[in-house]
Amino acid sequence: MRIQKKQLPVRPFDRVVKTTCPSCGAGCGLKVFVKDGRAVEIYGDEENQLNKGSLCPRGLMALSHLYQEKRLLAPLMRERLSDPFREATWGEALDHVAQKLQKSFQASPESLYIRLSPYAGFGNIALGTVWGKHWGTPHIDSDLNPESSVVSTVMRRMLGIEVNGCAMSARHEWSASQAMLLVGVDPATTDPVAFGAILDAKDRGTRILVLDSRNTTTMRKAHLSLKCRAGTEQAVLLAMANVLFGENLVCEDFLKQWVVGMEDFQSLCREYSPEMAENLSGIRRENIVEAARDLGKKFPSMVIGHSRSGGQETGAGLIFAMIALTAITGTIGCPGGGVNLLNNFPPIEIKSESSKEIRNSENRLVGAKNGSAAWRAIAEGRPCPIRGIIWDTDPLTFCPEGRKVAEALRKMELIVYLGHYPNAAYHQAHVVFPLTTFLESEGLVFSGTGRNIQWANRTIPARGRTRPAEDFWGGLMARLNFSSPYPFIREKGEVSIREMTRYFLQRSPLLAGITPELLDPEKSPAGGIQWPASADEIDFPNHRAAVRGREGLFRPGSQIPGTGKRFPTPTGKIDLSPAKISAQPGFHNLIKIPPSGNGFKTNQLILLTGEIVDSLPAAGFWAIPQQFQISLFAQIHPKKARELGVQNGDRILLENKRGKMEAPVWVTDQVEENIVFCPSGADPFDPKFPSATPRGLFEFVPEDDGCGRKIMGSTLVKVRKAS
Amino acid sequence: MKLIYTGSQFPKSSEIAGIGEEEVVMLVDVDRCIRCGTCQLACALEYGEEGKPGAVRNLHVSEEEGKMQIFNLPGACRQCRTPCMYYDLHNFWIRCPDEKVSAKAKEPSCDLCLKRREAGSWPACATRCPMKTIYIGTMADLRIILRDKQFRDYGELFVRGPQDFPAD
Repeated sequence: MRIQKKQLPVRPFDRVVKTTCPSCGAGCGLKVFVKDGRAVEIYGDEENQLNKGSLCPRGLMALSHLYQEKRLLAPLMRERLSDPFREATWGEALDHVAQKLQKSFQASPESLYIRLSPYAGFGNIALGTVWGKHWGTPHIDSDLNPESSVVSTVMRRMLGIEVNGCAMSARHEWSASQAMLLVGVDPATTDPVAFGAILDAKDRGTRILVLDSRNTTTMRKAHLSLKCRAGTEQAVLLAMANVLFGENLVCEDFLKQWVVGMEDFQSLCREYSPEMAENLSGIRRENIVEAARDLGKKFPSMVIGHSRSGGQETGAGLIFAMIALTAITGTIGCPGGGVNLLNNFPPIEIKSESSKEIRNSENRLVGAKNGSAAWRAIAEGRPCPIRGIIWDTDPLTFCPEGRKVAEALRKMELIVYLGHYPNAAYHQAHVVFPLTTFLESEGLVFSGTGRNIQWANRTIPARGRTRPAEDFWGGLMARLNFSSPYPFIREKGEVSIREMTRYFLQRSPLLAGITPELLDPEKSPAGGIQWPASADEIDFPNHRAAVRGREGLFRPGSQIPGTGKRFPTPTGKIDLSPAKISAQPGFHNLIKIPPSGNGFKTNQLILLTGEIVDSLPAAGFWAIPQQFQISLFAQIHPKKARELGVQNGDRILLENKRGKMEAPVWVTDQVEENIVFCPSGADPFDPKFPSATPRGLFEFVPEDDGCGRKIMGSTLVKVRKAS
Repeated sequence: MKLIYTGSQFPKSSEIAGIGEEEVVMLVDVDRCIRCGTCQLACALEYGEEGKPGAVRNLHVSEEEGKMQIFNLPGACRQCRTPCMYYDLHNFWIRCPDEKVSAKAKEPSCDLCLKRREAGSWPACATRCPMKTIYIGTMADLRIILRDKQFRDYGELFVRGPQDFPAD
C-alpha cells in the first residue's frame, strides 16, 4: 500500500478542533484531536499557509503542559509569605485583591507595577493595560506598549510608522528573495517553522548570509557565515554600506526619489571601512565585501533581525543600520525585501475610557520586556517605589540581579500571580490565580514572524478551576467599578472574549475590518489575515484564497491608510540622517571586546543567554521529557573545557556577585573561547530541570565593569567545575 | 548530505544489495536537519500515553546524562531486534562492534510505525519533522524526491544498510 504524509493520529478520537499555536511568532495552525473531553493528540494543520502541517517541539508539548501533574488548578491565597496557601474560589480571591488594593494602594496607585506577557493571551495584555490606566499607575509593562521600545522610535523617525513589523515581507514572499542577511537571530532554534521558509528559499537558490556573535544552528546552514565579536554587528553593517557606496551597487533611482539625509549617512559610512570593521569585529575583510556584493547585486535582498534587537545596548544603531542597508539597496516595499523583524507586534491600539490623570507619569518605567528599569525600581525603590505587583506566567526568568530582587520581593505588600505552574513567581506571591492554557480558552494570536493575525479556538473545557486571564481583569474591573464603559464585561465581571477582541480591533485603524469570525480557522480559511486590513478593504476578491489581506506596506504606488503617503515621514521619504537617531540609547556604543583570551582571567567568561526551542519555558515549566537532556546546558569552547578540566556532561558552576547557577556542560565550538552560553527560561522550582535563571547573574543596567567593556545581554562570570 | 537507510526491520527488505524499487526505505536530508528533536519527541509521544511521552523506540538518545548530540536523527540500528548503546556521538550512525546485548534489548525495536503504515500514514518521526528532513517510501517514491533535490544544491548521497557494517 502506498503510504502518505498525513497529519493524522492512529489513536481513536471523537472530533478535531482547529486552532492556532500562540507560543512564538511563527503562528502554526494546529489540529487538536479530542476524545471524551480530553485532548489526546496534536498535529499541525496542513491547510494553514504559515506552517503547512509542520509543528516544532514547543507546539508538540502543549498537551504535556495541559496535563502536567503540577499544574495549578485552584486559586490560592495567604496573608503573609510565611503562611501556607489556602484554596479559594475565584470570587473570594478577587474580593481579597480588590479590598487589599483599595485599602493599601488607593493613596498611591502608582506604586503598583503590572507586568503583562503575551503568553497569557491578548486579553491579558489588553484588559491589564486598560485596568492599569483606570487604576492610575504608569508602570504597565507590555509588548504592545510602543512607548517602551527603541525599535518603534527608530522606525517612526526613519519610515514614519512606529510599528516594528511595518517593513516586513509576508512569509510566502520570502522565497522571492535573492539574498537574505540574518543579523543576530537564530530562527533555526527559536522559530524552526519560520526557518523552514528560509531553507525553502535556500533550496530555490537564495544566498543565505548570517551575521552573529555565536556559531548558531542558523549559521551552519548559511552560504556565508559572518561570526563577529559580540556587539559589533552595527559596525559590520555600516561597513557593508560603505562597500555598496564604494562599488556603486546602490539603487540610485530609489535613493533619488525616496530617500533624504543621504549625505549624512554616507559620511557616517566613510568612518566604517571594511578594514576598520575587520579589526573591530574579527570578520575577514573579504567576507564583508563579499556579503555586501551579494546584497547589492542580487535583487531583492532582505535583512532579517529581531524586534527585541532594540533591547541590546547597540539597539538603536543596529536597527538604524538594518533599515539603511535595505533603503540604499532599494528593497523596502518589494516582495522578498525589506527589514523583517521577527516576533513583531501588530498596530493594535489599546485605548481606555479612563479620564483619570496618572500621577508620576514622568517616572514611567520604560524598557522592553527584558528591560531592567522595573527590576531596579522593585529592588532599590528608584526612580519610584514599588509596593505591589501583578504579574503572570514566568516573570522571574527575566529577572536580573537575582539575590537583590529576591530580597526585595519578600518585602512587597501584595504580589498577585496569574499562571499555570508553581514556579519561582508563585512562591513569592500572596494571591495566585490559575490560568487556562491556549487549548482551553479562545483568543487573538499575533504571528509576528509574518504579519498575520490569527485566532485560537477553545478545544476542550478548562481543567479544574482554571480560567482565562480576562476573567481576572474583568472581575477586578467590576469590583472597582471600572467596567461600565466596556460592553463586553458582564455584571459579575465575566468577559466575552470575542466581543472584547472585536471592541479593540475596531478601535485600531489598520485592523478595523478584522473580526474574530474572519480569523476563526474552523469557519474561515486557516492562516488568519495579514494586516493592515482596514474596514474598507477587507472584502478580499477571493475569500477562500490561502493568503488573505494586504501583501505588504510601502509598495510602489501604494499609500499608508490615513496618511496619503508611501512613507508617512514629514518629508514623505525615508530619513537616513543619523543625526535624528543618534540621541537614542546606545547609538554610538560600539562594544570593543578584545580578541579571545586577551585580558581575561582563565576562569572568567562572558555569559550570554537566549531562548531555545525545545520546551515552552514561557509558560513556566519545561515540558520536555528528561531523557532528551537537551534543555538546560552551558555551552563552552573545547579549549576552555580543557583548561577547566571538564567534559561533556560534567556540571560547572557559574558565579558572580549577583548570584550563581549550575548547569551541565556542552563542549562545542558554537561559542568562542571567552563565552559561555546558557539558555534562559530556567526555574529553581522546575520538577525536571531545577536551576537558577542565568539572567539572575546579570545587572540592572549596563555598567562599566572596570575592563572597559559595556555589554548588555551579557555579563562576566567566574566559572569552575562544580564539586 | 543525504542518507538512505535500509534495514532488516523494514518490510520487504529481502534484496538489500541493489535497493529494489519496491523496498521501503528512509531518506534523511541532513542538509535540512536543525537538531530540534521533534523526531525523538514524535516517537516518544506516539508510544506514550496522552500528554505523557513514553520511551523512544527508534532513536538513540545519549545514554549518559548531559551528553549532547550533533544531530538528532532517526539513526537507530535496524539490524537486529536488540537496539544497543553503541552510538557514536560524532558519527551519528550506528556501529555494532561485537553485537553485545544491552539492557535495552527487551524494548521493542523500530518497525517504522507499523500501525501508522497500516493506516496509510508515514511513521511518526517523518510525519512530524518540521523541516521536511525525513522521507519514507518505496525506493520508487524516493527517487522522485531525490531527483527534485538534484535540481538544487544536491549534497553527497550515502546508503546505509547492513552491507555497510563490517563482517567479523
